[in-house]
Amino acid sequence: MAETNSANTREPGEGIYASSRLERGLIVFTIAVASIGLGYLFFTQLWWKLPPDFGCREDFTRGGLCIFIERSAAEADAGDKLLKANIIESRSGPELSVPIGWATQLNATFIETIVQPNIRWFGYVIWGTEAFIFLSMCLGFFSRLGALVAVGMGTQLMIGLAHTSEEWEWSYILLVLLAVAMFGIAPGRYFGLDRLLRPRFKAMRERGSLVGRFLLLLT
Amino acid sequence: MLAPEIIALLVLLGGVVAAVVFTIVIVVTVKPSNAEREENEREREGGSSQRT
Repeated sequence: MAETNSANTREPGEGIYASSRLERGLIVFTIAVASIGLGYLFFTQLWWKLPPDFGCREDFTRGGLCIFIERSAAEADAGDKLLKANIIESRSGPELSVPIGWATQLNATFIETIVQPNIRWFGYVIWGTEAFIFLSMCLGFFSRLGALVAVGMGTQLMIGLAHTSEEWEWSYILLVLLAVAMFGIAPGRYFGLDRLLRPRFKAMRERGSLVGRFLLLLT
Repeated sequence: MLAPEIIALLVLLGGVVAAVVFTIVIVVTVKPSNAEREENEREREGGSSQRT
C-alpha cells in the first residue's frame, strides 16, 4: 500500500526510468555499448575510402568509394521493394513489402547529378560525415545530432544498396533502426560529454540565449 | 609527406581533442542553473531520477 502511494506521488512518466542503481547502471551500460558500437561501425568504414583519392583509381572512375557510388546509381532498377516478407513459400515474390522504386530513382538522380561530378570534394563530405558520426557516437558529443546524421547516412545507403541482389537488406535496415533508436535516446546524456554540456546549455537557455536553446536540441 | 592513414588518424585525434576542449570551455565559462544543480544533487542522493 505504501508502495502504491509512493508510486502515485511520482512525477508523470517516472515509472519508465530505472528504479535501482543496478538497473540504472545496466541502462547506461547498454546504451553506451549500442552508441559506441554504432560509432565503431562508421570508424571501420573510414579506412577503405581514405582521402585524397577515396580509394578510387583511374581518374575517379574505378574502385573504392567511386565503385560503391557507381553501383548505387547503376542498380537503381535492380529491385523496387524493401522489408520483404515471403510468407507463402510456394508463391514467388513477397506478400508483404514496401515499394521504394521512387526512392531508388531519386537517389540515382542525386548521385549522377551531384555526387559523381563532384566526387573530388564530395568525397571529403562523405568521409567527414562518417568521421563526425564516429566521434559523436563514441564520445557522446552532440549525440542527437550525430544520430540524426547517422539516420540520414544509413537511409541513403539503405535506399541505394539494400535492394540489390548481393546484399542482405536487413544489414542496412538494422543500421537505420539502431541510428533511429540512438536519435530518440540521445546517448550522450547517459555516458558522454553531453552530460556535462546539457546543464550549461540549459542555463544559457534560461537566460534567454537562442544559441543555448539551439545547442540543447542537438545534444 | 605523411601517409593518408596517418593524416586520417591525426584528423580523428584532432576531433577528439576539439570535442574535449569545447566541453571544458563550456563547463568552465557557463555555470549550470540553480534548478539544474539541485536536480543533480537529488540524483546523486537518490540515484534514480530522470535524466534530462
